[in-house]
Amino acid sequence: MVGIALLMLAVVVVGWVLRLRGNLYDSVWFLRLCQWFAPAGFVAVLMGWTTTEVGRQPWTVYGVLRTADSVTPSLTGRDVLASLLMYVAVYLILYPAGVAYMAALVRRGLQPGEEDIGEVGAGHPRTPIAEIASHPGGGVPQQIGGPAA
Amino acid sequence: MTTVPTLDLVPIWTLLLAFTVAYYVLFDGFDLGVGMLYRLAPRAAWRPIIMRSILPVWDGNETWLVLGGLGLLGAFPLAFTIIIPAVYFPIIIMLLALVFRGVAFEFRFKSPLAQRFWNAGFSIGSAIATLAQGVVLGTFIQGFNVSGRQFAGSSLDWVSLFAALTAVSLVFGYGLLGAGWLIMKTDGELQAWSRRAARVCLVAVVLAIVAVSIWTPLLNERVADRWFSLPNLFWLLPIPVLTTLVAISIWLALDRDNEFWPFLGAVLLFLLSFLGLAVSLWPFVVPYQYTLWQAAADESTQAFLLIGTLLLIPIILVYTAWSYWVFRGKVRADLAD
Repeated sequence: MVGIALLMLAVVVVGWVLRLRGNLYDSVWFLRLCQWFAPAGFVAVLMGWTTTEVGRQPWTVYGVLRTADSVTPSLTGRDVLASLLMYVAVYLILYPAGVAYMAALVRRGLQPGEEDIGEVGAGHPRTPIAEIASHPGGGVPQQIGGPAA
Repeated sequence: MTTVPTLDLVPIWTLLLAFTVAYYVLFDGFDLGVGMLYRLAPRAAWRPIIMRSILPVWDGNETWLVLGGLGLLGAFPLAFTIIIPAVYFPIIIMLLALVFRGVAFEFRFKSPLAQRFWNAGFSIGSAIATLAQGVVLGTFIQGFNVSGRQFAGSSLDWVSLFAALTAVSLVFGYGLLGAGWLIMKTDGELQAWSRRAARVCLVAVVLAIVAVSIWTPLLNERVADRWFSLPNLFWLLPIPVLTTLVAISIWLALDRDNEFWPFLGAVLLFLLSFLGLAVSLWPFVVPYQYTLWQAAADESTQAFLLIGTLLLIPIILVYTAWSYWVFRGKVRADLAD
């Protein structure tokens, strides 16, 4: 986790340097690198979480309360299994769908300058993501990107 | 040992938690109600408008559930320890249903193919979350099987006729709030349809309030004594009288052009029911077993949590009010997808 975090920081610093030099958007190798770094945050979070959860065993509160003593007495193994299976079922539907939608959004890409987000109000309460998704190529907030100066 | 006279924080935390629960029930209540009505809307063209009416506010509303749950854990840990295991499955089912309903807002825009699936997830998720919350309410009113400082029943103790009644009641209650919200946010035929939906829900809600009010005192002598013993009866009489008057006023407002009273009246109906519940259960936080004071966390814990909570809640309320102000008025049909 710490290693990935340092690498991510390094990518940020390289990005700054390229930006100052004015060739951030032309450095193909760097853009490719960013593409490969896209899942790094997820990996870091999962690694960090696993380290914490595994590392504190056999304690729930380190040195004070053991994991075995913090289990809810009324809860049976079967209860826990049933709820775990429910989580698994829901996430098996949500995650592939989410990844597919993200991939579709990325594939469509951002076509800058076509349409503004427009007014916000009772008639137009969209979330930015829904806005981008439902107007093919439109509704790109300027600050996100585009080949700026 | 020096005893410093300190403030009793239990009443403050009680009011804070009561406020949080009431806020959650009223606000997520109306958007869960809108979610259930979504599927019942007879015209496909209305559905985007119905969904848009809650799009800017629903997730803010839902977040109060977190404050409610963690406030209970932090300020009244003994209550959390007993109540949450007793309603383990309703809570997990509610959370998973809310997850489904939440992603439907984002996912349904992206794929026409899967839109039907996510639309169903939105409505059915709303209904399941509401039913689960109603089960929690019913189980709570009935009280828990407690031994010492632990819940001693099984994870299926929540299966009961009374909990089924409160679950169905809450569906119509949220339906009434949702229909009231749609009356405010829409016009024309969709508004007329919302008025009809509100009328059906109102009748069911009144029946539900009557049923729960009769059944609850039968469950527990203490509750019956609270309401029907003699000086109390006169003091508490305004609650059922006001409830009746509010219900009649909603019915009348549904017949007229009044666009705001159906929703505000429904809010009052909920608050009066909440007050009635508080009267029945006071001073217990684990009904009939542990009082708020017995279940309270150490005073220093309550004080520590109170500082952050009291700083943050006003800020949250201000920006929430601002967002309702920004998105005020009718949802415009011409901009719906």
